[in-house]
Amino acid sequence: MQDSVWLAVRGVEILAGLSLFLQTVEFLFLRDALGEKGVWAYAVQRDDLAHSSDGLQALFAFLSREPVYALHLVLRLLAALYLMVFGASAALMLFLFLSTVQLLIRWRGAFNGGSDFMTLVVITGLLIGSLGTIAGYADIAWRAGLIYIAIHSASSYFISGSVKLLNPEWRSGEALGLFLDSGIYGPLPADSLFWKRPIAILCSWAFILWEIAVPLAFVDPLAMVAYCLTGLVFHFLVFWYFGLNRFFFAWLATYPALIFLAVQLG
Amino acid sequence: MLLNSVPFIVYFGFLMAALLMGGRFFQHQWLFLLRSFFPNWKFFHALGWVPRLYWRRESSSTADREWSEWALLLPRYERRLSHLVFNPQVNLALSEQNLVEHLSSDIADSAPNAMVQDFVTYRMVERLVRLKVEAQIPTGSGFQFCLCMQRLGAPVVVDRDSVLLSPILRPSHAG
Repeated sequence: MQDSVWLAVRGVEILAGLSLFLQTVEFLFLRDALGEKGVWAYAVQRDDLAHSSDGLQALFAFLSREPVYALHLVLRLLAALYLMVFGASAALMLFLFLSTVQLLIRWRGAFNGGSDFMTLVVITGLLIGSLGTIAGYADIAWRAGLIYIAIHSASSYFISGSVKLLNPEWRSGEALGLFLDSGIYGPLPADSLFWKRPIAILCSWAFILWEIAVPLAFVDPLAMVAYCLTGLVFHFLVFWYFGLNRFFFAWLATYPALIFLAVQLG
Repeated sequence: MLLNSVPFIVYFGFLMAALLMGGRFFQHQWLFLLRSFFPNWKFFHALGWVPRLYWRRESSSTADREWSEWALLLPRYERRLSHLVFNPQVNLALSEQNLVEHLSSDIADSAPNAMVQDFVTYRMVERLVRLKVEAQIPTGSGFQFCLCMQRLGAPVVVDRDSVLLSPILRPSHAG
């Protein structure tokens, strides 16, 4: 494996491991929500799986038992630590992939929306590399895994920015204040700067332009590094104003892949 | 030169074209449960109607039933820097709001004579309401919840904006 590939893969492994570790600690803390008396109790949620086979329903019933679920999370925590320290292997990534899918189904498809989607993308990318290594195509498989992650990450910014660009309420700055006002940390104070039209327009257009500019960042690796550094600020603001801490780490884990692809293309 | 790269331009051009043209909407239970495999990356993309959960309680258990004012069920939170690495309660609250949105979608997609109380989402939301409010309900009193559609930026008027009103519920500790 080339040094640049190895470096990017290690970067993704460490940051993905960190992201998975933090997510799993939160899941451990929230076990009651999936427990017998919780909102997501399997006794209720199993009707979501009524259309599936008896075997699959029995498997989910077993995995949803509270001690089994707790053990699953502890194993996931250890797997995340292993990923950070020793790196990916096919068995490890297969476990993390299936574990993530099972958790998402238990949370009815997603727990935290976009961060779940991106976490699955990163795990899939590492799984592609790991499985390719077993098949004897390590270099090309890891490149494919990194490119898979980079394309999803770049697409996420581009699509997110484009839908805002196409929306007149975002272009006029109106949407930003209203989303912040209705968010988990809302309502916005009456004297908030985000209610002031010029500030709202400036912030909205800064988000939109930064997001849709991602294709341009592939022109030069340094441009991509700058893009990713700005991304840290962007995701911190998304956390600060919308409470989406998992997004910060889920997207951070894709940055080595974005930089890798910029190096390959630049 | 990257920007002359045909696949590169075609890919991002395709993304933009797909956004402009819109797409078909497929529905299947497994597609819903496995939707993380099909991310659409459209975050906070448009203002619209947001479902909100309200509840009220009987203020007495006498024959003359009196009700409290409707109150928003899911609370807002105070932000902290430490939430960057550990934020379970806020993430759970966001997930609870998603559940309310799924109930709203299920109601909107349901047949006119559908039994909403049989929906998985309805039963989960009822559990959510019970978890949040039962400790405040004295034995013998009842409570209700309703689902209102709020236009972002506009105040909610429960009688006007309600799309679902639960039956009168009794605390499970009432026996």
